[in-house]
Amino acid sequence: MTAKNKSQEVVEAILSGQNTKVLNYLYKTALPQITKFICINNGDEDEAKDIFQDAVVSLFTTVKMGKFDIEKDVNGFLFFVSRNLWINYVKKRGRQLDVSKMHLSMYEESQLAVMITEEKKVQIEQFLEKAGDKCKQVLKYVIYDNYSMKEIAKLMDFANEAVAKTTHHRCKQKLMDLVANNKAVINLFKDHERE
Amino acid sequence: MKENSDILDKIELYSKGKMRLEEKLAFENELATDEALREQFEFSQIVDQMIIGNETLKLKEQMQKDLYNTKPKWGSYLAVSLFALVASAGLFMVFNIKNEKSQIEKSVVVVPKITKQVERQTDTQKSTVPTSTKKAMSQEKKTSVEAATKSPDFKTVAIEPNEVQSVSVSLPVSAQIVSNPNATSKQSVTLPIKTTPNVDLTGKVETLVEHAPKKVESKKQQASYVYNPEYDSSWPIPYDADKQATSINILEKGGKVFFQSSVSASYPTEWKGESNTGLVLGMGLYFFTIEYADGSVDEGSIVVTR
Repeated sequence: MTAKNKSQEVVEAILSGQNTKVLNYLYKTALPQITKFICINNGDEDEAKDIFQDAVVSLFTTVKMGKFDIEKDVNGFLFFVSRNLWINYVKKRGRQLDVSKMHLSMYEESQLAVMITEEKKVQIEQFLEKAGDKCKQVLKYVIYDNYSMKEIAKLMDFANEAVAKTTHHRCKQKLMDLVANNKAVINLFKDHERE
Repeated sequence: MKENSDILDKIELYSKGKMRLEEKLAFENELATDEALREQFEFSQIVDQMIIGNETLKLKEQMQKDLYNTKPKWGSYLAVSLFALVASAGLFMVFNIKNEKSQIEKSVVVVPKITKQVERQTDTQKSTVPTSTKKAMSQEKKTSVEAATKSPDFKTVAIEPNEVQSVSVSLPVSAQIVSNPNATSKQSVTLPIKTTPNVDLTGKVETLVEHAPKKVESKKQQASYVYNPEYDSSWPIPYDADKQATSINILEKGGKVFFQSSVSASYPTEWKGESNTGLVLGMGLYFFTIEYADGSVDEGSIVVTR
């Protein structure tokens, strides 16, 4: 019961941008769990830290995208995402891993996880480069920070909300058109969403 | 353009979960039927993912700092402790050299080091304090050292009065110390040293008398038991009633834990010869350990016969 409440608290903290607070909580709760798991399964502490970081990025992304099921446990999500990441990592390196020991049941927690892979990272950088700084800023305020048009107008010195809104729409449409013309990117981002 | 704006607005409201239920259902219906809209929605989602991913990836930098910054800290701890070690070694040496100098001036310095363990017997007790210092050089000088408290033993060390730079003497000092067993664990005692008049050697020997804790050697340690499950339904676990037990383990010969229980959680008073999983044990030798809250451990063996 408390775990669930804590989970919701974490999700709310992520949405309201209290990143440091959330991270400190996760260092204490999820990280030891993941480190233990990875050390048992043929990994070391540094690898565990890397996997943990990817899992946390996935958690934040999933929550910000509104795809995190509020009923689910944050630490459970991180654990399952980490486990999947670890299995993939080990497979890639052809290292020995006894998968039979891990109960590979379907893990609902991570089904909706949005992963930001290295491939995606490269694409993101290229696309946002094309969008321009101003667009990047507006889109960040709208999509990531969830600011209202009024706040954005103030922050970016727009004359009024309407200007902020049209700027936002123009920028978003621009990026969407760029995406529409790039099949590889669509597949890259869609495929990982399904995983 | 206006139309597009509307669509974007709708998509935004939907993906942020800000729609009312009817609106949401209507929009989902539209998504299912209108392929163009579905496409736009997909693209919008990808753009959202890019914008959000771009920000969340920045978390990695912060985490990198948080998670790996501890390392240099350890390094500095290590450096500090090394430095402390070197510094204390240096100080020790300097101090020793100084000591040697003062030995030359005084000719003889006796530094008896007294370690003592008081064995508790009765209310007043008598014990011998062995004292020893190193005999570094064989030059001799006459001196007599007396260490005394209440009933001193006199010890005389003969040293020739030559030109002696430094002498350290090995001398057993017996002292009778009357110790109060109810005293606190540490007490400082001063033993005066007297010398014959021609030698300038006076001083005090301070010694810290540590009263041994009132611990009675437990006879339960390494106790062995015989248990026959056919005659006795269970084996009573021999806890030390004076101490608070925390856990009991019963091991097989090979060291494998056969039975384990946390005593604080459930106080098992007896063992029925079964493992935690209910396996009935065979004949042979078993070992048990009982851990207590004060850190002490009772151990012993059980021979199971049938």
